[in-house]
Amino acid sequence: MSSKEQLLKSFYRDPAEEALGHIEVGGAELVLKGKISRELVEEISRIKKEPEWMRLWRLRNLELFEKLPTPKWIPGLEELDLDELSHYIKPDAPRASSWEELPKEIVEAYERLGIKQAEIKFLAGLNAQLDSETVFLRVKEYVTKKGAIVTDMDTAVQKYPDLVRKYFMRIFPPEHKFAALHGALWSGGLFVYIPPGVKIEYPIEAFFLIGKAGEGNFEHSLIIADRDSYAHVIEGCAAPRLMKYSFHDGMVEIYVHENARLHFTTLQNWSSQVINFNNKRAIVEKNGYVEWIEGSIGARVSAVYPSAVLKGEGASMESYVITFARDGHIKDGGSKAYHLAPNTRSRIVSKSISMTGGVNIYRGLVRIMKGARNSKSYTSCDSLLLDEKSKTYTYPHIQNDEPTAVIGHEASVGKLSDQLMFYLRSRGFKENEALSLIIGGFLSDVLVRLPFEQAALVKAALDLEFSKIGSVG
Amino acid sequence: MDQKGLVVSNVRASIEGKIVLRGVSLSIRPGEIHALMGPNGSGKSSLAYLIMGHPKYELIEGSITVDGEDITGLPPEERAKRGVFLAFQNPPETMVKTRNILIHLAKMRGVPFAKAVETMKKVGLSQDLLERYLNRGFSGGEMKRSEIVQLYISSPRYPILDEPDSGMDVEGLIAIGDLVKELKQKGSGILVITHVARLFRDFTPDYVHVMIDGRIVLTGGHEIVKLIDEKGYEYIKSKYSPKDEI
Repeated sequence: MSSKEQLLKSFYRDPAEEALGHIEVGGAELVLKGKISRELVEEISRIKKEPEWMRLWRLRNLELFEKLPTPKWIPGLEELDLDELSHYIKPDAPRASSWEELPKEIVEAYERLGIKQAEIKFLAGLNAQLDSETVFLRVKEYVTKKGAIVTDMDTAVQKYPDLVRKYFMRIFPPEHKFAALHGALWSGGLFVYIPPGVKIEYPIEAFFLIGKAGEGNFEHSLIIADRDSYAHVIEGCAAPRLMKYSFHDGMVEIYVHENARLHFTTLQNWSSQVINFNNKRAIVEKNGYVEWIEGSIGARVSAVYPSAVLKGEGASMESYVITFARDGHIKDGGSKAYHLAPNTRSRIVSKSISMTGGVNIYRGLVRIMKGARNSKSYTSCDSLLLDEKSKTYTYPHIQNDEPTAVIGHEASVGKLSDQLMFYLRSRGFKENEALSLIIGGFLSDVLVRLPFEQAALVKAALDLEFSKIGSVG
Repeated sequence: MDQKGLVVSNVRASIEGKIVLRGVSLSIRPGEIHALMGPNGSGKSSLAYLIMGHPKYELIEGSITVDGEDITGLPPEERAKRGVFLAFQNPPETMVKTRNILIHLAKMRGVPFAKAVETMKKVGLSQDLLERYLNRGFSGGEMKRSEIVQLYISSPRYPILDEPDSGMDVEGLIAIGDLVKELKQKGSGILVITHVARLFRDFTPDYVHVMIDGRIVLTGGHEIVKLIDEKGYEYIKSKYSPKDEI
C-alpha cells in the first residue's frame, strides 16, 4: 500500500459501524421472507390490520412492480436478488414511548449512536425504527399542543386515513420498478402534519436502523407542511457491519403548501453492506420553500435524487448534497428541480468526494416548463478526487422551454495532487492535517448548513476536526 | 565553527531520473540576503524544492543542514518547523479558504490573526480574498502577495522566495523589498530566486550566485546583478561554465 493510500484509509472512520460493531441489533418476532408474491403482500397488510384501500393499493403496486422493467441505469445492482431478502421484520421489542421500556440492548445501540441523547436534549419528536417497525416514538408536549401530528406511518394510516389518502404516493407515484416495489412492501416511516401557521422550531427526527443482514427495508415518510407553517425534519440512517447485503428502498414525500417552509436533512450512514435506494420528492405550492440536505456517507451502492416540483408561483427549492464514495462504492446521486410556475427558484449544490476506488456519479435535472416565466435555477457540482483509482462523473440535464428563464451551471473537479500536499506540508501542516483542511474546506459551504449533530457526525466520519477554524492547539 | 545557517553542501539531485542539480553548495547565515540568479530551467526552483523537501526530488549526494542539523531525511512539515519557508513561484490552487489557512498559520506561530489582516493591507491584498479558496482564481499578483503574507506571519528563519517578482507591479516590488529588509533586520537568512535584476531596486543582496545547468558558476556581490543586466546569461555561461560541459 502506498503512503497516500494508507493516509486515505486511516482518514475515514465509520462512526455507525464503530458504534454498532458487527452484531445484529435486536431479535425478531416475525420475519417474512422469500419470493415477492401476492400472498406476501396480503400477509404484510393483514399483520398491520390495514384498511381495505391500503391493501388494494399495495396489490396494485405489486402488479406494477411485476410489469415494470428493472432500471438499467442504476449501477451496482447486479448482486441484488430480491427474492432472497427478508421483506418484513418485526423486531421483538414492544413499541415504547420512553427509553426505559425498551430492551437494554436496543437502548444501548441508540445510545452509542447518540440518538437517545439528542432526543432527550432537543428533538421535538423522535420516531426510531428498527428493521420494519417503529420501536420508539415520543413527541414533546409543545408539538402536540400546537396541533401538529408526529407519528409513524402505520399509525397514520389507522388514525388519519383522510390525510394519508390525500397525499400518500401522490407526490411520488409508482413510476418506476423500485417505487412500485416500495408501494407494495412499505412498512414504517415517519408521518408529520404541521397545521396552518404552526412553527415547530426544533427538529423532528426519524431514525432508521437496519439491524440485520439480508433485510429489505421499505420505510415511507410523508411530511405535510400546511400554509405558513415551518418545520425541520431530520432523517438518520445506520446499520451495523453485516454478514451479507441488505437492501433499502425507502420513500420520502413532502408537500409544502403556500408560504410554508420545510427543511429536510438526511444523514445516510448505512454500513458498507447496504444497497441504498431512496425516492425523494417534494411538491411546493405558491411562495413555499423546501430545503433538501443529503449527506450520503455510507452504503456500498446508493441512488438518491432529492427532487422538487415547484408548482406554485414563487416556490423555491435549495438542495445541498454531499456524497462520499470509497473502496469501490458507487454513489449515484443528484437533485432534480421541475419549474412549473412563474418566478420559481432552484439552487442545487453538490459536493462529491471519491477515494480508494470510490465512484461518484452526479445525475441532476433542471426542467423549466413553458410559462414558468422568470424562473431561475443554479447548479454547482464540485468533485474532489483524492487518488488515481477513484472516479467521478457529472451528468447535469437541463431542459428549458421558457425563454425568460435564467439557468446557471458550474462544475469543477479538484484533485489531491502531490503538489498541493507538498504545498500545504511546506506551510507546516502534517499530511493528515493537510487532508483535513482540504476536505473540510471543500465541504465548508454545505457543512455550515447541517444541524450541529449531523455536522459532528460528518466531521467524525471524515476526521475533519482539524479543518475547524482555530482548532490547532 | 558557528553552525548557524542554512547550509547546502555539494548537493546532487534528480527528479524522475533526470539530474537537475550537479554539485551545489550554498551557505546562508542569519542576517544575510542571498540572491540566486540564472536563466529559466537552470535548476533554481529545483534547489528550492529540494531544500523544502519535495517528495519527487531525490538527493543523490551531499547534505542540507539547518543550524547544524541535517534535514535531508525530514518531511516538509518538519523542515517548516525548523524555520524553512518556501514562497512558491506557482502556488497550486487549493480547496481551503484563505482565512482558514491564515488562522492556522497564525496559531502555529503564536501571532494574532489580526497580524495577518494587517499584513494583507500592507502588501495591498484585498480582504475579500479571505473568503475565497486560497490561490483559486487569484491573479498572478494576488498569488505572490498571498505567499508574502503567509511568509510574513510564519516569520521563518530561512525564507526562500522563488521568483517573487514575476507578475508583480511596482507597489508589489516595494512591498517585497520592505519585507526582505525587515526579515534581514530580524536575523533571517534569506534566499531570493529570480532571473531578472529589477527586483533589486528596493534592496541589495549581500551575495549573488549565478546558477547555470544545475551548478553555481559564479558567486560575488551586487556587481554581478549589473553584469547580468548588461551582458546576459549567455556571456556568463561562456565565461564561467566548466569547459568540459560545453
